[in-house]
Amino acid sequence: MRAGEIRAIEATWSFAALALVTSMAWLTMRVVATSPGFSDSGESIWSEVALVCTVALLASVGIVHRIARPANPLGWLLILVASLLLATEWDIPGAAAAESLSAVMFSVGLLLTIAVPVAAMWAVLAFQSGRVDGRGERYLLLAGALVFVGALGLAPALFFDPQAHGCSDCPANLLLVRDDPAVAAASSRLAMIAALAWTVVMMVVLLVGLVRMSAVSRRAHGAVATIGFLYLLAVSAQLVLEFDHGFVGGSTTDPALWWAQLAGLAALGAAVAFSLLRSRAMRRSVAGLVVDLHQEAVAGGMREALAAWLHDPSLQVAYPVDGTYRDVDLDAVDVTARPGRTTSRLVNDGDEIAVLVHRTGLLDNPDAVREVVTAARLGLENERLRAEGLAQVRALAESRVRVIEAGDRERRRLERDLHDGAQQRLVGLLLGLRLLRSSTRSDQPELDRMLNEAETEVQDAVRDLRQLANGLFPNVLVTEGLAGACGALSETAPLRMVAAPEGRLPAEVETTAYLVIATCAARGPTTVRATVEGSRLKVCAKVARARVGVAALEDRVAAMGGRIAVTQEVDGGSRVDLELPLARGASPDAEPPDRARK
Amino acid sequence: MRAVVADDTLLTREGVVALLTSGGVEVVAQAGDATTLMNHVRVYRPDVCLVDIRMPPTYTDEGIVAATAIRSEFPDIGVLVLSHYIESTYAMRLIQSQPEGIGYVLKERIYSGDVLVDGLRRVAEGETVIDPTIVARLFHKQRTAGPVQELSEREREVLALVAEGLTNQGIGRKLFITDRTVEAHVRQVFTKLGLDESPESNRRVLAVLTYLRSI
Repeated sequence: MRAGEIRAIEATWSFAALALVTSMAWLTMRVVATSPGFSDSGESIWSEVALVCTVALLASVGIVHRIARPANPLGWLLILVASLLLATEWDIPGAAAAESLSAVMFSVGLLLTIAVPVAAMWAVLAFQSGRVDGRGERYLLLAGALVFVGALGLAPALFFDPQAHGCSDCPANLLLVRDDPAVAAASSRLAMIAALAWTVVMMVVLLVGLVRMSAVSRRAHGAVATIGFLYLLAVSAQLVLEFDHGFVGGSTTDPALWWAQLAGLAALGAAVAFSLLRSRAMRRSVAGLVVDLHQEAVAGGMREALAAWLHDPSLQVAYPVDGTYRDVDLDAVDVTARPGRTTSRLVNDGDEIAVLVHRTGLLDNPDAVREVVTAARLGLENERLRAEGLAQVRALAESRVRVIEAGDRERRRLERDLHDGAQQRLVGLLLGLRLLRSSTRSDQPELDRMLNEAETEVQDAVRDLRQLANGLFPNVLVTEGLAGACGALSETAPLRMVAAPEGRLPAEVETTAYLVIATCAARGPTTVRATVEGSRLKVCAKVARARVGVAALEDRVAAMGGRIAVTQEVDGGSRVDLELPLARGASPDAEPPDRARK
Repeated sequence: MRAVVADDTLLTREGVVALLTSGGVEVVAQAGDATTLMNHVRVYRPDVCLVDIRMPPTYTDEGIVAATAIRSEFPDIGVLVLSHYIESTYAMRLIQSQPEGIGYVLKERIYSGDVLVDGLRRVAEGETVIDPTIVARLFHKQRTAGPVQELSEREREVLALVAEGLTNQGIGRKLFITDRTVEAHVRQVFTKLGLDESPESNRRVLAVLTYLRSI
């Protein structure tokens, strides 16, 4: 089912709930108006207005919550609290105003006369996710329902007939089994003791929860727990004060305590509304950031945005790339759980788009995670794709460098084979000839001459072979580095090194620079200045009186993430500028192309 | 003169040994790699070693490393390195670490037993030996006008022989002039080139090669 359909169904249900609560409110007001002086809230018209306002607030916040977070049942709980708040007014003679339903309404009113605290506590405990996760808390709520509805509402109603005891206007009590006021009073007293005990236990639970909450959680829902605690304080005070009466509710309620409870419920509704507004505002701000980020395309912006949103500067965003988790710049991110750090997977349509590593307690419910996904999905997807693209570019660059390295290795191997194979054999042959000559008799001048010629031939072959091998790959480059190899080159070629880096550089950097310098020196008198600046090797070669072409080397330089440029000078000479990064893999992204900063 | 020969190619080694033996050198041991060479040197204590520059495992500059090691452990044993590399770089590295009793000649010298035996004798006596081809390359480097270009023909000859590691007596014999004349030439050349080094010093080969390479 698509999100749109879910939303439509939720809206239908919400309108049904709204209609129900509105009709209940209207009915309640008629009941209250019919029997003035019986209402729990006392005589004042303002108290009725306040009651209706609180109901309206709870119900409307509940409905908005249903629509905003369809997966979170907290909205239903608020509507339930609103409905029960209305039902507390039904156990009065005015219930007769409901005409044919009057007996049912009156009986329900008797049953639910003090059911609100349980529902309110349910909402408080379920504030985060709409569900009560703790098993103990669930049992506690069940016990509360048994005490407040079963013992305080149902038990007295079974044995007490209001019509028989001075309320001739009251509708019939449908729950009545046997009229026995003594039993009703006794059970009611017991129930009040149980209710008081339950209230105290619940207050302790809330207090412990408040103390054990992480700072982040306390900021997010500490207010609700506090509201619940204060509300229960008012309920328990009412229970203590009314213990003498033997029953709860009715016109005997202390107005101050009634107002306090009503205020607590209103505050609960307001807290839920505030949390909805706050997350909406944050989502807007992150969504705005996503738009900004898209326009500016600054890598890593999502991390900054989410860190600011979630108030966690140390937050890390990791994207799944090739089975590993990496940040937007492809650095590996540790996504294993550690003390104080929690990871949250951000999933959209079953695909993991990112993993957040953050302070524990920050995103401890699925709603918060969903919130992040909704707000930041586009931006996160964008960065994930960027990271994937970067990984591919990097892999490609690395494979190009590997191809070049393989070529170099092959040339070295050939050079070594020539040296150690062919050349050694020729030298051996020379030795053999030499020994042969020394053993020939002096009366064979013709043979001596031929041997001499053979020796000269072999010597020439050795020299040719050495030149060939050196051209394939100068061994001095391997052992002595760029400076040594250029020094050796300057012994035969018109090359002058003004500066050369003393230390050793990565092999492929040395080889590339050497090949460029050798290409220049082969064209004409060359002056070279090679320096290491930061993490790059810079070579400037000036060739006098010759045009230089480096097309054959351009691919090689580009593969290593370097740059090469040839400028033809006015005097007929050329100038070659070469720049090579020293670090492997620092290639195309070391200096991001223009798209990064517009 | 007792010698140890190190070369990884059996054919070459055997040939060299035959040449040296016919030249009157007693080859006391042979080695195919640097480790064996060091062991033989410790056991036989020869007067001189003939070492190929390329030996296992990397076949690059093992000979130079071994030569330096032998010279530092046994200062009275001369070492002559046979090289395939015509670049002065390796020769410089060698004499920079051990300025005397050491030599660097090209591999093809082995066909001439006399040159080989002469080189071995000179390093055994503590002299320095640099292959003439390498010195010639340094002389023929393309240079703009400078002190080297302003030397007279005889002075250039003397300078080249100094760079090859010859003593004044050696130079005199080669050029058929007296030691005193050689000394005067050397002094003059060193002054012209602006070299501080005393012409008598053992380190003058290094000084001259460094100078030639730097310009």
